[in-house]
Amino acid sequence: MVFSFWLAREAPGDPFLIQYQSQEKHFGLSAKAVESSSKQPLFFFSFEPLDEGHLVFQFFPSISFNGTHNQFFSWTKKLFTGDLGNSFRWKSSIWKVIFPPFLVSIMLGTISTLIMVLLAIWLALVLSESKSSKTTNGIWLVLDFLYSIPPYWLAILLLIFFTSSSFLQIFPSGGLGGEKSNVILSFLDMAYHLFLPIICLSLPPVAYFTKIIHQNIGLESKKVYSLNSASRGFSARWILRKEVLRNSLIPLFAHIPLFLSSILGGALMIEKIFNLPGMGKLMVDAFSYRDYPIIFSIALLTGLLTLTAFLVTDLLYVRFSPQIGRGFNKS
Amino acid sequence: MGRIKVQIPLVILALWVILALFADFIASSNPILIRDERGLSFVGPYSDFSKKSQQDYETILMPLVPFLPTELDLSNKRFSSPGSTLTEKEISRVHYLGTDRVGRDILSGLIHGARFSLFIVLASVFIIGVFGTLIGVIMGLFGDKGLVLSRFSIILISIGLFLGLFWIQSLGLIKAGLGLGIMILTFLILSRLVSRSFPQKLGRNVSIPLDYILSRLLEIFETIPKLFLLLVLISLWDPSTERLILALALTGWVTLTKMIRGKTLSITNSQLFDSLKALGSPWHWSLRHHVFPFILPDLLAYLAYLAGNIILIESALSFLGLGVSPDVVSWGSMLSLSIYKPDFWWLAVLPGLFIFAIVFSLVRVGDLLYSRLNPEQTNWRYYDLV
Repeated sequence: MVFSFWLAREAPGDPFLIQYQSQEKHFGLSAKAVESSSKQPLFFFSFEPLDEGHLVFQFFPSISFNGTHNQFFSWTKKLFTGDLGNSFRWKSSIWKVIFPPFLVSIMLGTISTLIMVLLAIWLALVLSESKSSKTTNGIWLVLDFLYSIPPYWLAILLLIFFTSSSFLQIFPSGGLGGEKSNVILSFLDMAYHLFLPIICLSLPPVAYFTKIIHQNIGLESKKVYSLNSASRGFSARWILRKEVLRNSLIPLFAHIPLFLSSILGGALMIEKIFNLPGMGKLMVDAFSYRDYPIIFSIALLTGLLTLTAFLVTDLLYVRFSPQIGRGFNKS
Repeated sequence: MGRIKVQIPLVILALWVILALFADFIASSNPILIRDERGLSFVGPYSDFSKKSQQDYETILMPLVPFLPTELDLSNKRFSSPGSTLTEKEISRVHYLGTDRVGRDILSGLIHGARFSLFIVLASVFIIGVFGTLIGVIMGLFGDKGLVLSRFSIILISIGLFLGLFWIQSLGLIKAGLGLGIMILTFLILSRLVSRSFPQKLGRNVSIPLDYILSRLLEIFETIPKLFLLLVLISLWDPSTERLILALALTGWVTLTKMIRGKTLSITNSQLFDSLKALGSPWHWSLRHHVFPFILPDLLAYLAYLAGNIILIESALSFLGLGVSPDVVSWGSMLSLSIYKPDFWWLAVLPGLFIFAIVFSLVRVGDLLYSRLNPEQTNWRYYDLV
């Protein structure tokens, strides 16, 4: 049991491989564009037909070993020395181009995740506490609504109705803000600028997380300890909030890495619409400029980030729920 | 009340299909009926009307929206306002919702966008449904011990896979098929000979942990950020509708396969299945009468959710201007126009509202299907992260 669990968790190592294989493949193509090192074989081994035109021999492969003179190896070597190449568009090192947007994206992601999780917990609590079917049906309806709203549509609607001069001009139309003399003032300015984008980022995934938390609450409240607490005279509300909720939040850790990547993806459109200098906007711009080194470095970085997130959440998992680390369920 | 709740999503979906099927008759630049000196005649969207248009007509019946979505109205460029008209050969046509930057009719684009989205959704849901169910059922049925092969055939299969991939890569599909055919024939003959002469070592049977291998593969796919994989795939390929469908299918099959696998395993591990085996029922019998009815409610409901998810992803991609070639009109690409023209609020509201209404009704219909086919469980949702 423990072994298969760890192996399942070890698997995230592979998107890294896949991504850099695709990256490597593409570096081959882009290298062809600038006509440098395109003659090098792609991988350690190369397979070619023995004789191209021959009737029989074209079906037999000749395998040759290329040693370290292949694009894959040189690319990996560069990667481990921290050299990602240069951006086509900005003509400077990729690290310099990527780092500031990366910080912006991380900030946006953290704030909207916090808001989203709190909202989801609240909705899940209301769902499991309320006895009237009207309330629960209403909440499911709202969740269906939130799920089916395209986030970028929400962003455009907010942009048009709250920032343009033809309708209500309450909020600024874009940018990060925060360039004021005072620290408090610039913080407030930033909050003012980020209000709409954060609404767009945090509302759509609420449905997914509410469902998960609600499901977990349902599973946990059937366990013996909640019955035990109830028999000791604790109120249902106390048991739900203090005991069941804590345990039902633990499995949420498994979903955070997936959510991280999805929020980066969702931020793609939101950042573009609100003109925020984050990774998503950088990536969209890189697509329109066909700036492949940037695209693949971002893909690589996201893969690495997801990987680290998986590792961290695994460690947290073991920390919060020790029975997993000790192989409690060995069978 | 309950009736209405059920009917609204179904009506929306039906409207969507009708719009998609009859888009050519609702929005077209050709008239439907004309009456000239020879009497009443039907023209329709598929005939070449412009050649005949030199004659005089007494009356003319235009479609509801008298423009094709790809038609460039050069006199009404750069977001002309609603109600602006185009008069050609004494036929004047009205842009009910105005035009976009290059003079294409907005309402017509909205109507024809339904067809595009329906096509994308049907195609990719079909591919995912077939392959996901197939792989999931195979994983569940064979499990880790179900598939037993002799060592010899394992070696042959791996050589065949390697050579087949090599041929496809270097020689093309036709020659690869030819080569594989010859190879399979020779291997069949060889396996007959060898399995008799070396029964001890090469002929020994080994069970293949098919479920284990495929599960790891699924996990790898699951951990790659979906939208990023999609974007990378699309950026590597040229924009075309078929490749967009392929990319959507490649990124969407994992969840379905995992779900089907779990469901199938839960029935193949049950006592029912053991007793079926003991009674000697063939595998296709238990597949048809026990596995499929068991997984069907989940499958149908999930496919409805999946369709909604695919609409969301596809419109996001075309919103970014990726995936399809720029002359294809889709709701996502229309939404992206609205940033340049905030005064045209309908340009932002309508395509988004269409997407929203369809996804919402698909989610509702999925839930409905599940609760009807599986009455014990309620409040069941398959939300997915986009």
